[in-house]
Amino acid sequence: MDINASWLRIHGGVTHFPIALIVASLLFDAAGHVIRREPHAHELRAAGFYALLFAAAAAFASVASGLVLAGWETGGRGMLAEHHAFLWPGFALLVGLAAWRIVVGRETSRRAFAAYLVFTILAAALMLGAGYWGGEMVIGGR
Amino acid sequence: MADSEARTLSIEVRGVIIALVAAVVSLGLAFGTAALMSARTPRRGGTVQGAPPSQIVLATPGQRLFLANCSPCHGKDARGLIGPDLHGLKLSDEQISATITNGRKGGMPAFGKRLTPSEIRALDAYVRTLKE
Repeated sequence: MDINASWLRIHGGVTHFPIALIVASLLFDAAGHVIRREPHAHELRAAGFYALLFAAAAAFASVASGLVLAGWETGGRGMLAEHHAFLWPGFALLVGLAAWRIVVGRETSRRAFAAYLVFTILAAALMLGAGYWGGEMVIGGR
Repeated sequence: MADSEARTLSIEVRGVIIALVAAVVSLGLAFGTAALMSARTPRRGGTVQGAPPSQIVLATPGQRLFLANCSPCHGKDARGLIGPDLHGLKLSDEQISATITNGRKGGMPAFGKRLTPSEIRALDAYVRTLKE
């Protein structure tokens, strides 16, 4: 197996974590926002918080392996450009959301948390878009 | 009550500022590392990315199609990236066209629905020009 095939497998494996975890985080947090009864609301938001932290950490590993795989290309053409068009804003938003959650902890108003959920939906959509175009590059058109 | 709300708002605003800084730093880290490594990594084939002005030639239609559709996986120089090096392929025109049209199992996507037959012929002609 050549080195690119190895990086393709590493990137293909690692990249599932930020995508799955941000979607999981969104679902936990949304449930915690809707279900107001304690201790369930707190536990759901805690699950959402840790899922988001692991998603952000996994995003760094995913970006690093992807950059090596793409020969350090941050833009590119065609499907790689589409992949990056979703990836970079999604990555920045994911890291920003994780930083915000770390800073505010449990001290958030319902309105601010609702706004946070909207941005999480956007981040999840961007990460899913990046995943879609990444998949298209490898197995698309079938 | 008002003090508590003001404190919460203050923490939320501080969180937004730190979030923006974290996002910019993360992007800077990724793009900075990529730029640094790209400048330091010689391209396969012994040349550095970016041809000198004396070597720049007008792209053929096949080359333009290649850059738009194939270079993400095969590299701008077709020396291979995710996909293999395409120089010196020992395949017939029919085999190259069939591969572009139908893809390859477990690897290359099919381009039969994205490209017209004439575009696939132009790509085939371009790939044929890639010698060892």
